[in-house]
Amino acid sequence: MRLRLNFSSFVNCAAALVLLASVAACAKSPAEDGKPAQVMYQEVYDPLEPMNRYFFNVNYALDALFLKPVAEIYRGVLPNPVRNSVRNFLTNLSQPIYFINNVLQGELNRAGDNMGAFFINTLWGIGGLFDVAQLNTGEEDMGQTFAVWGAPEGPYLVIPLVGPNTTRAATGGVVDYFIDPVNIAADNNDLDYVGVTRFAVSGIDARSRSIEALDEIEKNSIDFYATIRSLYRQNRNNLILNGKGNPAQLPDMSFDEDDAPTAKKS
Amino acid sequence: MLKHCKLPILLIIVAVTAIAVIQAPVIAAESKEAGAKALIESLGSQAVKILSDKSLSEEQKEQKFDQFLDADFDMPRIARFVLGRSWRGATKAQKTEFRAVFRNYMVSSYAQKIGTYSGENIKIIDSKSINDKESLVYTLIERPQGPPIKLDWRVRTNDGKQKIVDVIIEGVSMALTQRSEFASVVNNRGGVDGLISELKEKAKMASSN
Repeated sequence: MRLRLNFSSFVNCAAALVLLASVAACAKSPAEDGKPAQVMYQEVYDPLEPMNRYFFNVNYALDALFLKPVAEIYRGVLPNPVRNSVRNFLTNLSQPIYFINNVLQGELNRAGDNMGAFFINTLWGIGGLFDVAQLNTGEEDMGQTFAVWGAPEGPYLVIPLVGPNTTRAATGGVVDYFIDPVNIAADNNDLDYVGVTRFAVSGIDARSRSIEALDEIEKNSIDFYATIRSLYRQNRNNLILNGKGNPAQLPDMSFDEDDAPTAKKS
Repeated sequence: MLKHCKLPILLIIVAVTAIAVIQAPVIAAESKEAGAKALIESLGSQAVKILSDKSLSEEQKEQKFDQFLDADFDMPRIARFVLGRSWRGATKAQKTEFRAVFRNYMVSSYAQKIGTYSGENIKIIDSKSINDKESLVYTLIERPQGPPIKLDWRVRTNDGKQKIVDVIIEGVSMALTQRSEFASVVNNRGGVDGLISELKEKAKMASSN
């Protein structure tokens, strides 16, 4: 049983890596106007936009029909402390995979926090229901690890039921699923429903915390798809950099190259 | 004796002048960041004061915020940035109209939020230089419920005055988001004129609510 599982997860990892490599090979940032790739990298790379827009609309409809109402009921019925415990429990379940990713990224201090939080909260926080450790660990996934290793972002992707992604993040998500110790443990014990339940509850939990924010964004945007795409990519970038972006890499707002000729004329 | 005295004095004057000249940019750079910090500090405390003032109506609050937008934000520069590559191809009339429409759109999008204020407070953390004209002011929005939100203000010196050119929420730049969105509208829905009419529509819808 264990051998079969390990083998199948190995095959899946390998398949994901091959996919990643092929994506990396064809996913060069388009260089326009002769500007360096560094600047262009900030720009949107969305060659599959028509398909993405289609799935975006599908997801939007599914959200309006199912996820949002369920999230509203969830928030309305359960008191805040209970919902916080659900959140803590889910975070605690993810600490092992965060730990693995932090190690792979060379972030050993953060990995130590993951390990500390996991053991303290599992033991003293009743299986992770309470965040006793208060270590404020961030989310780390294989998509971020690939980014730290230098893999390009790849085309933007909207995945049915999952939502906004980049090819890199999606590939990372597949690898995460198969190397996550919690999933492996569940699989070894024939607890098939664990993965699905975790996915569903995480979705409801996350959605219940973003009801107002998403409504607000939708109300103020004239192209909701493009806004979400930009927000998603910038947020991913922030996660990859662990919130420590280099201010010098902000987009240029000087317009000097344009202003210079006009200034000379006048 | 007098002759001997003159030289050191002259030297001292030269040295002092030289030091002053060399140090000037350093002092200026320091005061640039400090100035940016002071700008956000005063804006933040004024905003919180207005928002929590129960004697003011929502319209009065909105008017005060309009003043901030014109006085402390470099709106022409922001408008130009968010139009991105389309700026160069746009006619003078389109540029003028876009600036006006974009301002109204910004006003309408924050005007609805004024009523939802629930005791948030701004805490200035630090400021850093980005380049010779710009600094970034790091702040935290402390909320009565939930974790604080990281808010960074990009401030730029223009014609001797510091003004805000971008607001970065948890690593997400407002200007960049809008530029990306507007580029998509320009491409998919009738160019710059299409964008202008969409923005007008949005501002009208928000103000009628």
